[in-house]
Order: sequence, then C-alpha cells, then structure tokens
Amino acid sequence: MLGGAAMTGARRVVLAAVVAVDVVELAAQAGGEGHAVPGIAIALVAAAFLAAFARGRSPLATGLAALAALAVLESVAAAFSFGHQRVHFASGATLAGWLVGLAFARAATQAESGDHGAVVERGDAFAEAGAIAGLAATYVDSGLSKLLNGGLAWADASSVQTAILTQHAVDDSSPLGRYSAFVVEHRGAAFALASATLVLELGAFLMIVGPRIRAAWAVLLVGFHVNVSLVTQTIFYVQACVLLLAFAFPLDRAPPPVVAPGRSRLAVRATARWVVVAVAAAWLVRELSSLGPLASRAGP
Amino acid sequence: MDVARTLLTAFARDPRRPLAALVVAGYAGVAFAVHDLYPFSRFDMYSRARSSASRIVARDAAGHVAEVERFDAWQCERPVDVSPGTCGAPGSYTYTPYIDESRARWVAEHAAQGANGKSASTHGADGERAAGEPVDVVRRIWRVDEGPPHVTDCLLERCSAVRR
Repeated sequence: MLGGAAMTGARRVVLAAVVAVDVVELAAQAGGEGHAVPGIAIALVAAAFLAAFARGRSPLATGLAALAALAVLESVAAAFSFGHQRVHFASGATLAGWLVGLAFARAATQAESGDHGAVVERGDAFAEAGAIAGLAATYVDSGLSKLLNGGLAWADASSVQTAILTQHAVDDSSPLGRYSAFVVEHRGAAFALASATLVLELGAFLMIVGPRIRAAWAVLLVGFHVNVSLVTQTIFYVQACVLLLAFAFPLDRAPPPVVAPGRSRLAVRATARWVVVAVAAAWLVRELSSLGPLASRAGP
Repeated sequence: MDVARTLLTAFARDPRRPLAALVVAGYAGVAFAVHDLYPFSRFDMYSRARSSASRIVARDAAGHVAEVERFDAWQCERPVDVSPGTCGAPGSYTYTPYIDESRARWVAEHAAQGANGKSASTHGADGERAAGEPVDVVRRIWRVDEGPPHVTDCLLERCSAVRR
C-alpha cells in the first residue's frame, strides 16, 4: 500500500497522464491543412511542462505553464473543429485545483521551520484537496447550468429523451439500442434518469467533505457516465472517470494536515481574496467584451 | 444561528475543506462569466429543457430508416442541405449542427465514382455509376410530449446509394 507522499506522487502522475491524453486529442483536432505545425508545437510545449509536473519539479510553475499551453491549444482546436469539446475540461479543472491547493499550502506553511518533508507532505494534501474540488466543480457547474436554464423542469423526462434521440443511432437493434428505446418510450424511466443526473451533479459538492462520501459519490458519478455512454453511445467522459477513481481510491486515511490556526486562517483569507479578484476580473472582462466591436459582429 | 456556526466550525476543522469550497465557488464564478475558456466551462450542453430532437438519416424505399453511414456510393442531384430552415421555421425543432454536418459530409465524401474517377454524388456525373437503391436523406424530427415521441420526416434530398 502506498503511503501519503507516494500516493500523492502517484495521483500527480495519473493527473499528468490524463491531461497528456487531452493534449494529444486536442493537437489532433487543432491540426489540419495549413495549421498543423502551430498545434503540434503548442502540444509539445504542454507535454514538456506536464512531464516536469509529473516528476514533481517545481510543480506550481510547471503545472501553471502546462495549463496555459493547454488553454491556447484548446482555443486553437475549438476554432478548427466543432467548437469546445468539454470532455477535455475535466482534467484541466482538476489540474487548476491542484495548483490552487499548492499555492494555498505555500501560504499556510510559509516561514515554517522544522521538518521540510512534513511541510512538503502538507502541500501535497492541500494540492489533492484542490484537485478534487476542481473536478467536483465541473459537475456542480453542469447542475447549476441545468437549474438556471431549465429550472426544476429540466428533470422533466423530455431532457433525457431528446438527448438520447439526438445522439443514439436510429437503427441500433442491439440490446443497448433496446435499452435506449425503452428509456425514450417510457417517461418514468427518463424522468428517473434526469432527476438522478441533477442530484448527482449538484451533490458532487459533497466530495470535498471527506474520503468516504467522496468514494461513494465518485462511484455514483462513474456509474452516471457509463450509463450516459450506454444510452447515447457517443458521449463518454473517460478522463473524468479515471480522475474520479484515482482521487477517491484508495480511501485517504491520513489525519488532516496540521497547520497553525493563525496561518490557516490567513491562507483561507488570502485564497478568498484571490478568488474574489479572479471572479470579478472574469465578469469585468465579460462586460467589457460585450461592449466591444467583437460583440457587435457576433450572431444571435 | 448557533447550529449554522457549529456546522461551519465542524466543516472548517479540516483546513482542506475551506480551500476546496473556495475552489468550487471560484470555478463556478469564473465559468459563469467566461462561459467556455479552458479550463473553465459552464457545461451547459444539455442544460435547456427541450421538447424536440432531430437527426439526419437515410430512408429506403420500404420506409425503413438507417444511419447514412450504412450506405456508400451516394448519388444525389444536389449537395445535402442540412441547414435548419429547410424543414420549417428555425427554432421549431432542435438540431445539433456538428452531428448534422457530419452526416452531410459522409454523403459528400462517400459519393459514387464516375467513369473518370470523379465523385458522382452531387455533380450530375457522366459515365458509369455504381448500381444503387433509392434512398432519401431525411431529417427525422421527434416531438416529445406525453407518451412516446411523435415522428415526422422532412425530405432533404432524393438520392440513390449502395448498402454497405
């Protein structure tokens, strides 16, 4: 059984590997006649930083650089293919959460003297907590979007029925095709799946509470993804499934990291300030861009 | 109030939890501002309640529908136009552009070859053509209300094709 630091190291490698898969897929999407070289070049830069991150070399700096390269690569891929493929975002959100956790740990353990190894181990614990939160946030966002755009009426059976009809092959006579047809034709089954989707997505917040509920929710979410792939046959968030299982199992039995209460409060306040600044900046950019010339050229 | 304070204190006993809560809140706050800017997204692909769905499919002479990928050697008079306005007012049914476009692309890229080796699908080819059966490219529209979905087909193009 791997210990705390070794387990964190293994999870960091899994995270880097999953993001690397996204890099390859995004590079393939971004590559095309006349623009293959920039896509490959950005992908190589991202891969190099990811390799350094996986080895634990200045993980905050290398992880941040990899994330920036990925953001560019994803934009290029979206521009040259069918738009944003959200299947790639789960690993990015997890990586971003890991980096916020590392930054938090630095603030919380700053100027601490004593055992360097113990300080690093606490940093790992916070990084993992941030990564899990980043992954959970993708589900919470999806649930919030459904509530904001459709209200509780989203859980009406038609949401699941129309999603299956749009995605599933019309001539599938296999057992999976019959299962999909059953859901489409029986509103009770579709309503149950839609309701479960809302509960699972919004409840993903619970994954940050503790290891047992995290493990239970991760299994439920993987089951959700598997079911979606069965009824649509086209949508499978495999990267998210790998990350859910990797960060939920084995159960984390280590006690919470010990940080001086004063330093912990300071780190929470500092992180809260940065979060407020980031959110405010994002909304400011949104408002400014809606006034600019790009917005006036946008379609309906 | 006391209960809330007690719960909050218990929640914050592990210093990782306030951090995690901030990450979730921050991600949501940024994502709902920028919509889709890696790694932030609202994940709102299926967030709107819908009462219809549609898909571009092939319909044979007997009225059976199949995916267009089940056929090859397509010969149509014109390129298949999957723009939503061809089947009623835009917005009267739901469609997924990238899936529709992939179907139209399949028909174009799997066209019958004329004697000169050129695609015969949409160019009124001269020369020999592969023997095909009549196949209509239709937009199948499902309207979901109470009970099973109601189906209507909107003809996009009359073609011939060879079953794979």
